[in-house]
Amino acid sequence: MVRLWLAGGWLALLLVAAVFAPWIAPQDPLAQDLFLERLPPVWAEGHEPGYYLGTDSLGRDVLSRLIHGARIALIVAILAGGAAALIGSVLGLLAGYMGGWTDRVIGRVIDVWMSFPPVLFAILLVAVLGTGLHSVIIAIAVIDWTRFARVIRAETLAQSRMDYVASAVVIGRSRLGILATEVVPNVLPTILVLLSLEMGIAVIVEAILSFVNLSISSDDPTWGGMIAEGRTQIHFAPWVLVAPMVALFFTVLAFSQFGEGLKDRIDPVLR
Amino acid sequence: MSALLRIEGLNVSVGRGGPRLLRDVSLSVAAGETHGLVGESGAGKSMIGKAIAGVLPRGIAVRSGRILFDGQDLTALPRRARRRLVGERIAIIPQDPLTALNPCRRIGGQITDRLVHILGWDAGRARARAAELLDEVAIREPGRVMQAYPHEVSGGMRQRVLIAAAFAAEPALIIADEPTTALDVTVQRQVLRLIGELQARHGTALLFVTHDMGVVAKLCRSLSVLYAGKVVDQGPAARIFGPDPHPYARALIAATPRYDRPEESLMPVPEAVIAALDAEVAAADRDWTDG
Amino acid sequence: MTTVVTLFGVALVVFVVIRLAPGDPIAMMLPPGADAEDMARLRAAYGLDRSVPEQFLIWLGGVVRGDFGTSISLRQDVGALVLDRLPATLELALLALAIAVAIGTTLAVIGTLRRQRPAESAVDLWNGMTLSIPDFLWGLIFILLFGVVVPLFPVSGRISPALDPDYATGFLLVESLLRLDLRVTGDLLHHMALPALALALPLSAVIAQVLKQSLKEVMHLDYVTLARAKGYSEIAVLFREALRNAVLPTLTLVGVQFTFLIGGTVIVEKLFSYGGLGNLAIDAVINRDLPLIQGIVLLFAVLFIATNLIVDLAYAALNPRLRHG
Repeated sequence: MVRLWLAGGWLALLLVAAVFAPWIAPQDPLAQDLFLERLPPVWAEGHEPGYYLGTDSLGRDVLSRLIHGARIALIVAILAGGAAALIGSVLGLLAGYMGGWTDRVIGRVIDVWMSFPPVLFAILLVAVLGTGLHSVIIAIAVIDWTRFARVIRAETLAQSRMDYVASAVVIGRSRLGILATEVVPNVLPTILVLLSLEMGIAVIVEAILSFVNLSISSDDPTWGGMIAEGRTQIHFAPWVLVAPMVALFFTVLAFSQFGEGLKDRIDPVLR
Repeated sequence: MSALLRIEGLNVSVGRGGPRLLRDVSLSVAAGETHGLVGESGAGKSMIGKAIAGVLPRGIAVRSGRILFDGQDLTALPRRARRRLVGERIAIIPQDPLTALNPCRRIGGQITDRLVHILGWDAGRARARAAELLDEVAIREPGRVMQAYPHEVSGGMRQRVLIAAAFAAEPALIIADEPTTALDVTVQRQVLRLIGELQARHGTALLFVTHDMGVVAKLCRSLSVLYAGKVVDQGPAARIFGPDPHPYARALIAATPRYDRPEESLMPVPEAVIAALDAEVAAADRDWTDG
Repeated sequence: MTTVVTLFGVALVVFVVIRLAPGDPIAMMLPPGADAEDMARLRAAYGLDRSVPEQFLIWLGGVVRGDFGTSISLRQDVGALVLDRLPATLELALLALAIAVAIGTTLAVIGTLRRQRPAESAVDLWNGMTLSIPDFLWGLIFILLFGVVVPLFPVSGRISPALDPDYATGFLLVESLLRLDLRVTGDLLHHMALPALALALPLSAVIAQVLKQSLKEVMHLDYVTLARAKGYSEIAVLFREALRNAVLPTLTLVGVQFTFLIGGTVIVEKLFSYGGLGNLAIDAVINRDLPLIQGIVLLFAVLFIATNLIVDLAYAALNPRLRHG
């Protein structure tokens, strides 16, 4: 219960930061100032007022980039996570409910998909699609739908063997109708839990792609880009690396703990 | 004659102040003697065996009372010493042969465990002893059975393996915890005869836990009748099976299936008897303060 | 048979995906200002002037004969390049697996022996956290903590350049151990420690969680109680009687999770500039080196499938009920 609130609280904070980024951020996240490069955070010797978490090697304000980065992280989390959930759940429901060759084909595709190292697959896809936020989102959805499809397929299979589905068949309901009213509501909690976990994964994948310089342009404030930049400055300005790492750490932790908390909350059977 | 095992005022409960499982149980078993522990399921018969062996489930503990084995109070011994003593001199024949053997280990090792690891025998001698014991429990190919995994032999054979394992270290006391309940009726009789024979030959004392009065009548010299963790009747079998038993013992005897007189068997325990027993238990609980 | 179909599927998907890639690898090879004739000649040399299905069949034919083509950016045989890097990745992944098993089993055993006590809650809390944080982040945290704040470990490379030995195989760790070249072994382990730990932590949490759960179930069973009555201590009971039975359900899951770990080597190697397949793969993607990408991805797929196969075999070997004879 506590973790659900803590995790939810962090995510809400992140959402506020993302939505109101232009008004909250103390500086322009893109403004470079070579006279202000590698300023330490406000609690350290030699800081400048207004640059609370210091600046990076180009004199850009770390806190402002962090806040604007939250925007990109959440956009990716919501869109990529949502798309993966949609594709995966639909295919999983179809495979589990239809059975037969539909199930075999989808199962085979899942097998093939799971034989790719996901990070390499993502890098490959983004390289093919061209760098940019939309490629990152598409890549994550194209790769991670299997996470949903596998679980939802199994759940649907179990659900369709339940007596209430059988009785719906007996009274002559259509297959699609049964799927929509009897099966989907029962697998929905699982989808939500997986979605929360997937959003955390999406944030990480975006960071990884930015880290290898394949997400959006390196000027734009992304956490992964900041980490890549910080990695090169690690001995001169460690705060450039620490700030986005901490943000990433808590965000990923929050998404997964939110999912786990949700699991305990909505569906004791899932445990 | 001094008793091999003497239990005095044993109280066992779930947690401190939780539900009571054993209420002031006292009993004694002489060396080489067979004592029956009878009662319906849930009466706490198995708890007594587990308390003696020191394998009560987590959260369940002895609250007061003494368990004297050969003059030593087991409950007062340090954990290691107690484990060693129990390992050397007390053995258990468990209820369900299907779950009491480790599915991942060969049978031979499970018989020689105690000999090798607790008594420190060398492996060759232990194996020879195990083969001898399997022969004693009428298993025809001891060598093959020792190499087998539990799932490869029948339920009756597994129970005989467990009996052999129990007698392996020549314990002074064996706790037989409903050893025949999980077996077919035909196999039951063989197994009972086997336990009786081995016990007589090895001079082992036997604490025989069962819900079956018929079995007790055949095997035990004395017995304790349990209800809700309380001993409601105790004494020589001759008296309890005699002309004037305790009403509950009488009811239990009546509930035992008898193939010779079917119309007299399988009678439910009369409600008046239950009510009297419940009043007795409630009275005992009023005086009880959980130390 | 299903293995072959899966591999074929992987090959097909990669082939199609990378042919869709914009960016001309040939143009990247030649100096700016090269004339069209040169480009056409080179394109023909790499078979890139044919149609995509044709290219696929030619490539597949080569793969079946063990010929994976020639890397465009490095101008070397793909098979040789990949096999040269494979040992580094395998050693890293297996070291990580060993660490994960060690940590996971220890935590599971502690959590089981001290169940329903504060120690178990601590184990659960730690598991929850290590499970949520992916290898990439662990790698960063370790670089920061043990590379910069308390510089105990090197944070890049596989071996100190001064020590780089001239061995017969690429399995430097194994070979240095066999040759008792312990200075090299120590240096290798020193370099591998952080990336291996980063890869190991999430897996260790999975092992700890699942193993603890099944241990706790097994510890209630009759044969375990019987073993206690035989005079064994709780810890002896756990190792002798419970562990083997509890390992079985854990094993299948560890197999799947190990494939995730292998996948994780890609980014962790990049993070630690560790000279394995993953690093090669990322460079190959950035250079649009089509034959090299295909070779590496196919090799990863083979590794994944091999892992699953090994797990199935181990399961059968450990479970007497599946053993014949």
